[in-house]
Amino acid sequence: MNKLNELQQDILTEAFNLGMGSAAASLSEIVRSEISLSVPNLTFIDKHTAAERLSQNTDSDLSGVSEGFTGPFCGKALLLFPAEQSLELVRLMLQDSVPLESLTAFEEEALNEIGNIILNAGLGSLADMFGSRIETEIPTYTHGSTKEIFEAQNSANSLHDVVLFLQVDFLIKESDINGFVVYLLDVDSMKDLTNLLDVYLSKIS
Amino acid sequence: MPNTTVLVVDDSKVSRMMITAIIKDQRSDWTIIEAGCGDDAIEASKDKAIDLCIIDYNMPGMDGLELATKLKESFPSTPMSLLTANVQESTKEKAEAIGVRFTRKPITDERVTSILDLVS
Amino acid sequence: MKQHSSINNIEILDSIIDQTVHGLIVLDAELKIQYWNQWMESRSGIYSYEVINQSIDHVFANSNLIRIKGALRNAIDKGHSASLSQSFSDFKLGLYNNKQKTLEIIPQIAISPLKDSSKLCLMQITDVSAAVTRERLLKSIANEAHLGKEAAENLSQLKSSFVATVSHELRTPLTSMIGSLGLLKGGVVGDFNDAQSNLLNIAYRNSELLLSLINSILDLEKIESGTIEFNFKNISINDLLEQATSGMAGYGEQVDINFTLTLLKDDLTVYGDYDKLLQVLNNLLSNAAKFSQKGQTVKLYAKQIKHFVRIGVEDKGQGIPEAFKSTIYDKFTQLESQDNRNANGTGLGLAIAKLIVEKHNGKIDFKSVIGKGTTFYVDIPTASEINIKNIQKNIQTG
Repeated sequence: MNKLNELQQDILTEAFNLGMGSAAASLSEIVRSEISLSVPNLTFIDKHTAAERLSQNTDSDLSGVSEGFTGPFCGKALLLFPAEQSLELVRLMLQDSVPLESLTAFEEEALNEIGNIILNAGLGSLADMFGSRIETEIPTYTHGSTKEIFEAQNSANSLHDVVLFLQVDFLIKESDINGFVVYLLDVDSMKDLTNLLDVYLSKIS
Repeated sequence: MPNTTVLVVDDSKVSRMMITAIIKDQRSDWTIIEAGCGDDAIEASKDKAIDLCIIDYNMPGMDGLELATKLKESFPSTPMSLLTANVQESTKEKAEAIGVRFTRKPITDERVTSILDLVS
Repeated sequence: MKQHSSINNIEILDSIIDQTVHGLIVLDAELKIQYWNQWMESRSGIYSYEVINQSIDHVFANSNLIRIKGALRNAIDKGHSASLSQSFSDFKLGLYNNKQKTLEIIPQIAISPLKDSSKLCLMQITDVSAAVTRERLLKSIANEAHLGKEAAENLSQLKSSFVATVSHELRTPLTSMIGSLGLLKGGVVGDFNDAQSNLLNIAYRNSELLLSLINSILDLEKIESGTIEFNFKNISINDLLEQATSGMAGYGEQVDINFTLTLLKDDLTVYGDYDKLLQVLNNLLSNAAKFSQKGQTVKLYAKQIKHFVRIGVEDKGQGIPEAFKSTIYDKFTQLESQDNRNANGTGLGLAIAKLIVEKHNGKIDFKSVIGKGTTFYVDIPTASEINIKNIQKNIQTG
């Protein structure tokens, strides 16, 4: 019940591809630079392992934005950058010098806003593909090690630790800023998700 | 007269399914060659006459534009289009620069048909 | 359905919303206002009866609403929430006092769909004017501090290159002088009478002193600015001590001081720069000799204290006066020795020694009693992983 078959996985990956394409376009306009995206990587793992997998890409602390979503499936979407790069990004966006070594509250809010735009674009595309409505919560700024960040993502809808972990790496080419978009889907909503995928599959076959 | 042959390249099986379904529906006599990545596409199109290429951009290994550039060497006059979720201006510009059409995903009948119409 | 409380009474809930210290506005699918809380009333000077069922355009007629309306539409149509920071939105809310508009507040706005079936959305407004002002002030202070720091660093760099250039320029002619005087003194170009020899010796000695001073200044400057190269590796303490005493043997004979050595029973290893540590020991040993009387003994020993090795240089000489104790590591501080043997010192030896020891994560200290003697201690941590890592970090940060 926890696993998706090959076709279902394919559709979900394509759906997120679309979402990320949209999101990258938004981000590209904001930072006035080309964005390169990795192919989405989809797995079923517990949050602990998910955190470890992400921390393989970077061993510094991460800064970013977390946004809960509900709809045909529920979970958390996160946009994360290695901490110093988040400073870079804010400088880029605000075209401002950031003399302090960490983000002030308002720079955090600026990051929040960007994250919000990007994650909403991603989830919006996803919703469009399935003809559904995905509601998102007001995003919150998050910071810490990958473990700390993931642990903080408690979903009110699920008591289980296992999540559908989807990771897309992206790179802002001109400023060499790299980040990750992570979707943590509640396993409780798996049944709803697989139904949705099957419906979609039957529509296109 | 040999059948019109279309090369469809996308790492998503489902996407290929959708595209081929539309092609079969709109052009039932056309031959379709599928590939899941750049290398497979080049292999599959060797020594064949390809009349149209429909290519995804974000793929593992070679990206869609790299593939298109390579294919153009063997098929200089064959019309080609990207069919992609990567909707950044920069990608569009790059495609136009090498004479490749740019079509956005999601995959719909109209969008695929507009690509098929490139083959006169 | 979530149940946050047991309160169902509409009046109480209304009261809660009215006492909220943020603006709460509810809008419908046509972006008409359906709820306008008390905070909004008092801040804007507009009463809720004036705005209910009015379009948002009508209410905030003078404001740039493009982003806000976009976000509201997204909330209603797609169910997306938005966080509009004051950095990107230039929406300002008029602040009223008795219907007289006094100033505008800078708001932070959060927009979210209301989870019900009637397609409503919620707009929350927080007054962040004070915080923004504070932040801007903080930023300008930080900017200035940053510029100040840059200026200081530039100055330090200028100083370093100045010192290096000057020292080089001074050393070259001085080396020539010493060379020539040495040849003269050595009788290579002829003999001199006693009076002439005496003058030559004075000239030679002082030239050497001057060169030594210039080298010490350069050394000190390099260590302080972190541009000196330290060559760290594992060193045997017994080795170091033996080298120090054998190096001092000639000098000891010259000034009639006896150097003794007590090695460690079980040798210890430290992670350090051999030459620099030797420099420190030589400095301590020659100081000890200068402040001892002829015929006295200067002891060099080492012992283990937990995870440190303590190297001690002990003399029975004149001791260090109380007044001097606090300034002894300062540059150019020199104590006068009883028979003026310290006249050849530069006053920089201990300053350099202290810096070297600290670069090894160690400590230098002394105990002294007037007329009885002085013992200098150098404590260095024994070689261990943590220590090595710390030292390497130390070097990098200069």
